[in-house]
Order: sequence, then C-alpha cells, then structure tokens
Amino acid sequence: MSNFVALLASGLAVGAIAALAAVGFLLIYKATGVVNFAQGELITLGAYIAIWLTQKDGAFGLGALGLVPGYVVTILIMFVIGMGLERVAYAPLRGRSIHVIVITTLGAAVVLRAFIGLWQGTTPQYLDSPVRGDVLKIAGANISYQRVLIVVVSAIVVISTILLFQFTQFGRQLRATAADRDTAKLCGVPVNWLSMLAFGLSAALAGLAGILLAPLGSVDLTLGFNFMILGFAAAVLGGFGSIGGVVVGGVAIGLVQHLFGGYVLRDYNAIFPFVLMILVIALRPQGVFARAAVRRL
Amino acid sequence: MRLRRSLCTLLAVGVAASVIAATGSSTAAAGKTPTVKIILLAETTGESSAAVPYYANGAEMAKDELGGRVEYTRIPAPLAPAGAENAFQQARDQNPNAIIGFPASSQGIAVSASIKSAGIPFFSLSSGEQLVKNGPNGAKNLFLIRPIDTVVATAQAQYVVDTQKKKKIGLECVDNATGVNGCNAARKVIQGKQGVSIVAERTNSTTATDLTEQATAMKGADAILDYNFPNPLGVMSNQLVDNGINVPHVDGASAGIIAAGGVVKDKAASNLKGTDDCVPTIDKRSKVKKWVSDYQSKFGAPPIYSAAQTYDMVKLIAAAAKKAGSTSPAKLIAAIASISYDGICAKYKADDLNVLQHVANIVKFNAQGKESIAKPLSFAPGALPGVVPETTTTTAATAPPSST
Repeated sequence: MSNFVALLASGLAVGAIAALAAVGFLLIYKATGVVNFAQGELITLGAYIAIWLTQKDGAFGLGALGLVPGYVVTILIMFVIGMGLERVAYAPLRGRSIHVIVITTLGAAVVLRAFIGLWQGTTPQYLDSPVRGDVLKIAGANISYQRVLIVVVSAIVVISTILLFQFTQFGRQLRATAADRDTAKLCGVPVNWLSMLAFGLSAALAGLAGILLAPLGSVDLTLGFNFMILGFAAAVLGGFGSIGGVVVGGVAIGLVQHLFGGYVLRDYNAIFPFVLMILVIALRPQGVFARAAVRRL
Repeated sequence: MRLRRSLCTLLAVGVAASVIAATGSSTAAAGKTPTVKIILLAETTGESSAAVPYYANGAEMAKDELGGRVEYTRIPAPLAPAGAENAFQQARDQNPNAIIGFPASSQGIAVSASIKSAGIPFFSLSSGEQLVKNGPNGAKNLFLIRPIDTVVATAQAQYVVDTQKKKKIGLECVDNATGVNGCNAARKVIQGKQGVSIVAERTNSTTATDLTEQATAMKGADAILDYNFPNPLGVMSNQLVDNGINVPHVDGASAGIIAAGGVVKDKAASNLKGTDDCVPTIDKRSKVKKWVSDYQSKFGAPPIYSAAQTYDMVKLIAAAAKKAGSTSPAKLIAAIASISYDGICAKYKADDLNVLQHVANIVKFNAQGKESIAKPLSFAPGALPGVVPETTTTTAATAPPSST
C-alpha cells in the first residue's frame, strides 16, 4: 500500500508539472495558433533564475533574496522574458507559414539552452525550497511536502487560469482570437498585445513549473526538456482545446508513467505517456476532450 | 667531363645534406625536445548541455607552461557517435602527434576503429574496459588515463561488502555503458560473497527527474551501489532521504560533482560516498596545492579531476616526446609505454593494458557536502577483475563530466 501511495503522489506531482507546461502551450496556441517548443527551456531558465536570485550573493552581487520573494521575482522576470521572446521569435514572423514559426521556437530553445550553459555552466545545481526535507506520512509512505506543494500550487494556478479565461476581458478576447483571429482584430481586439501577454503568461507558468520541480532533484540544462515533451503530450490528449482537457491530460500522463509504470515494465516507464499519446492520436485524433472544448469556444 | 663534374657536385651536396641531417637528428636524440602537436577532443561550456570547461582549462594551462614545446588545438567532440567520429577525422586531418579526448566511453567505443587505424597515440578521458589494449575496442596506440571503470566499480562494491560489511545491497544503474559495466562488476562481487544479496536492482535514464519507484524499491537494503550520472544521482540521493531510506549510498565520480554543486545536503550528503580517481582540491602535496591555487586564480573556480587529467596528459606527452627525441607515432608510443610520469593526479605508468593510472579513492561527504577521503584504493597494474566485457556500443543521450 505504501508503495502505491508513493507512486500515486509521484504521478500526481509529475502530472501537475506536465499540466502547467501544457497550459503554457495552450495559452500561446490560443493567442497565436503556434506551439512554442521553447517551453522546456523556459522551465529550465525559471529554475536557474530562481537559483541566481536566492543563492550565494544573489543577482549582480546585491544579496540573496528570501526564497518566496525570489520565486515571485523569478516569475515576474520570466513574464518579461516571455514577452521579449514573442517580440523576437514570433512577431517578426507573423503571417509566415506556421512551420517557419514553430521551427523558430525550436531555434529559440537551442539559443536559450546555450545561453543558460554559458551563464550558469553545466554542473548540476540545487534550488532550495521552504519545505526542503519535510515529508508527510500517508499509509506508510513518505510523501515529500514539495510534491504536495506542487499539486496544491498547480491546482490553484489552473483554477485561476480557468477563471481568467472565463470571466475576464482578457479571457474573452483570447477566446475570440482563438476562434477567428482576423474577425477578432476587426472587432477591435488588440491581437498583437494579446499574443505578447500570452507569451508572457506562458513563460511565467514555465518559470513556476521550474521553481516547483527543481527542489525535487537537481537542476541541469535538461531539466525542462522532458516536461516540455510531457506537456505537449498532455496538450495533445486534451486536444489543444480547454484548459480542463489539457490538465486532465497532464495528470493522466503523470499517472500512467509513474503509477502504471511503477508496476509494469518499470525500466521502460518513460515510454508510457507517449504510447498513450499515440493511441489517442490513432483512435481519436481530435483529442479526448476536444468536443467539450469546441462547445466552450 | 662537364657531366661528371656536375654529378660530383651533386654527390658532394647530397653527402653534406646527409651529414647535416644526421647531426640534427643526433641532436634531437641527444635531448633537444621536438614540438609536439596535441589535439584535445572535448567540448567546453556552452557547446552542449553536458559540456564542462575543465578538460580545456587543464590542457590550456599545461600548454601555457610548456610554451613552444607544445602546439595545442581543441576540437569540440559531441557525445553522439557520428559527431565524435567527425571530430576525430577533423583532428586527424591536422596531422597531430597525439590526441586526448572523449569524456564518455560511448564516444571512444564508437570511434575505436578509426583510432586504431590512425595509429597516433590517443589518450582516452573515459575508461570503459572495452577500450583496454586487448579489449574489443582497444588498440596499441590507445591509452586510458583513468583506472578501468569496472576495476573501480569492483572496488566500490568490495568497499561496501568487505569494508562496510553490508549484506543487503540495492543496485541502481544508469542505462548506458557506465551503468551496464558498473552493475555487471558489482553483481559479480555480490554474487561471489556468501550471505550477501541484491534486494533490488533498477535502472534509470540519464535525464530522469523522478525516481520515486527506484527509491522505494531500495527499502530493506542496508547499502545502495549506484552507477550513475550526476543529475539522476542527485535526484536519487534526495528521494532516498525523502522516502526514509538512510543507508550508505555509494556512487562513482558523479558523487563529488553533485556534492560540490550543493545538490545534496544534510542526510543526502552524509549518506553519499563516491569513488574519485583524482581529488586535487583535498590533496596535501605542496605541488598539487600550488597547482590548485594557480588554476583557481587563472580560471576563477577550483579544478576537478578532469582538469588535472588533461593537464597531466599534455605534460606526459611532452615528456614522452622529449624521451623519444621524436614525434613519430611508433617512437612516441614506445616512449609513452615506458615512461613514468609523476603528475597532479597520480604517478602514471602504462601497464600491459595501456592503463596509465592505478589509484583512486573512496570519498565521503559531511552534511554540508565537503569532501574527504574515506579509503585510498590502489589497483594491480594490468588486472581486470574478470568481468565479461560488454561489447555494447550503447550511446549516452547526454553524458556528464563524470562518465567513466
């Protein structure tokens, strides 16, 4: 039983991070129609910025910030970086083939990774957490409080994002843009500003994912890549439609990898999310939750 | 008549040239050091996600000290086998006298046929047992700087079983040559010891970010032998503690890297032990202390084993060229095989397997991650522990600076 609980907690935490990455994908997709493959590197960058702000002498030798203020500043910096990314990797190419833009986001990912390597080196580092080392005992299993924190914070962020989508002018404009960009523009929706905001929010979510994920193990340049792939798989499962759909997709991916993979073909559990993704694409190409998403739009 | 005179003149010029050439070569043989052209095949910071600056820094430092005796170039060698082969061919085109390179065994194994056919002295930065002189991927001109990975892995397992007297062992293996060779060696030690058993054996990828299943599987073990890369080792160390598993956790050189990076602290650090064949920063010898201080002032950070090893190899090659009085491959290889060189890491002397270093240390860490030596190890030259070599050409998606 304790093993089951430990694996369940692990699956939920991984699923929650994948869901954050997937929501990041979805935000940009809705605003621009583009899938941003730099999302993984933005997760990694978020973790490194948090380390930079909170450890040793802090940023520019100005002194280390406390953990929570450091996290908040990291998310704000990531928001600005996201908007900057939109300016250099999307805005100049608006109107070009979608493939060109997608390849540009991949290029941005490579540049970001090289930048982080030059800036922080490649030796694994550690991001501290206010709950480092604390564990919650449930049914004989030790659940790290960091995992609990991941699930709780992700749930709050996802609910907030759903509310933002449903009940704010930004959400309505974003949904209008997703439905028909040209018509939205004719109706006065500031689509360019929206795409900047979407990139900013998406990068902030990636930064948050990095901050939550990093204290579980160690931080190196590959930290975010796996979660970018898992987030993409989650978005595909959700049909790139509603936030609820991609979140369920993320959790499903975490559970299939860690809970199912904890008992069956353990050494190959990394393949299960993608087996699930391929099955969904084969059996239901529009995604599991696509119909619900269409109705919402 | 005129023809005869011309022939005589030509003959005289020829004889004079031969005398000059003979005098020159005897000068070289008498001790004039020829300039050696050395190429380093390794990446440095920014060239890939696994690249570290140490290999290049160490070689550059030696080159600066040797001045005109060494001509040094670095070519980035990616971890993917095709990229490593390209880098090797680029190096070969420049007609070097010696090549140092390939931090990951998977690179050396993949390029071994080209190394053999080139015939130039090649110093491998990784030490997969497949690469020893008589191994499936070895060659007469291929030298291993570090102790053979399976020899170190065996010593690591013997330390746990014989010195620490642990009976129930958990095995964790990264899914490439480092993990396969290491776990094969450990399994052999454990199976050969009565009353000692493996309670769980798991693998992980080089990019794993969650090892809950692997950590919980180790419940019941009274020691864990880990053959891993730095990042997943950090994940495993912390998740073992999170899951209440506080037993000795013994890895290779990756342990020192994650401890230095602050990835493990408190129990995760004090549970951890590593096997490091060179720890210059805790060496008490005055020449090593001076070298560490010089390195730190030059590069702004303390060196690790990889910097010391490339530094030592550039100097060893220069010393061998001086001894040979020539840079021809055959003479240089013969000189390298016979020379004894006292470097920063160790006293290097090639054995029958072309392995140059035969010492290592089991290292331990305090709660803050500070490293100290738990047990010095020395290995008999030319000895392999009887581990069946894996002729795998498994390639690492990413490889760390610690790959053995």
